[in-house]
Amino acid sequence: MKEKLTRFYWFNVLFVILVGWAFCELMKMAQTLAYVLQTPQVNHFSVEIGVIPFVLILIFAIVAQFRFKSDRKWFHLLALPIELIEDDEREKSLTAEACRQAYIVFVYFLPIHLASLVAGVFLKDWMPYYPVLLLVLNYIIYHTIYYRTLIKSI
Amino acid sequence: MKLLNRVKALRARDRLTQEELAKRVQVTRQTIVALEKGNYVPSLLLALAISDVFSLPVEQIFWREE
Repeated sequence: MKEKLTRFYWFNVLFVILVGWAFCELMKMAQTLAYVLQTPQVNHFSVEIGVIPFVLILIFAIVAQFRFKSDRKWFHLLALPIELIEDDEREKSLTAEACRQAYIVFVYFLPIHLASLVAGVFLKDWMPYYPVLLLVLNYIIYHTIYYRTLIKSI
Repeated sequence: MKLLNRVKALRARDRLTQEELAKRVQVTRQTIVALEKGNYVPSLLLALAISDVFSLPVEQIFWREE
């Protein structure tokens, strides 16, 4: 069970990193488009987008389809994150405890996250994808706390 | 305070597997494993369901450690 949860953990982390990478590419494209729209003297332009993260996400989704087979219907899996699926009262108590720990960390990290957003204003030119990186990092922090609590409780 | 139980012994008496008992009380096998190891304190509903399976009062299956 612990090995299975550890696999889920790393799968989710890698998946979110790939999604973050894909959004960095989308942001790059959006920045070029915004520049073109805000600059009337531009007559022609080209937009580039890296397809590697999108291809990797597709491969990841196909692998997940075969690797993590489930009896549940696909719309149930889409509606609820797999780590929150509960089959009985013990699993409910485990997810409740893990959610509590993640929430406590969220409350203590909130001022740091807000300060990071302020710092982002100064990092805008040096690191244009900063908001995406911040969100991905936040997700990884809460996700780690959630899974760490879950694995410890089992 | 720790809750002890004799679910494992009763399950052996009735020749039930963990999977069979789990199915009859509608929980996962992992919950029965945790229960037998003393790592999980069941809800009153689950304790009553287990007592129904073994046809014994709850206090003869679960008791507090002195």
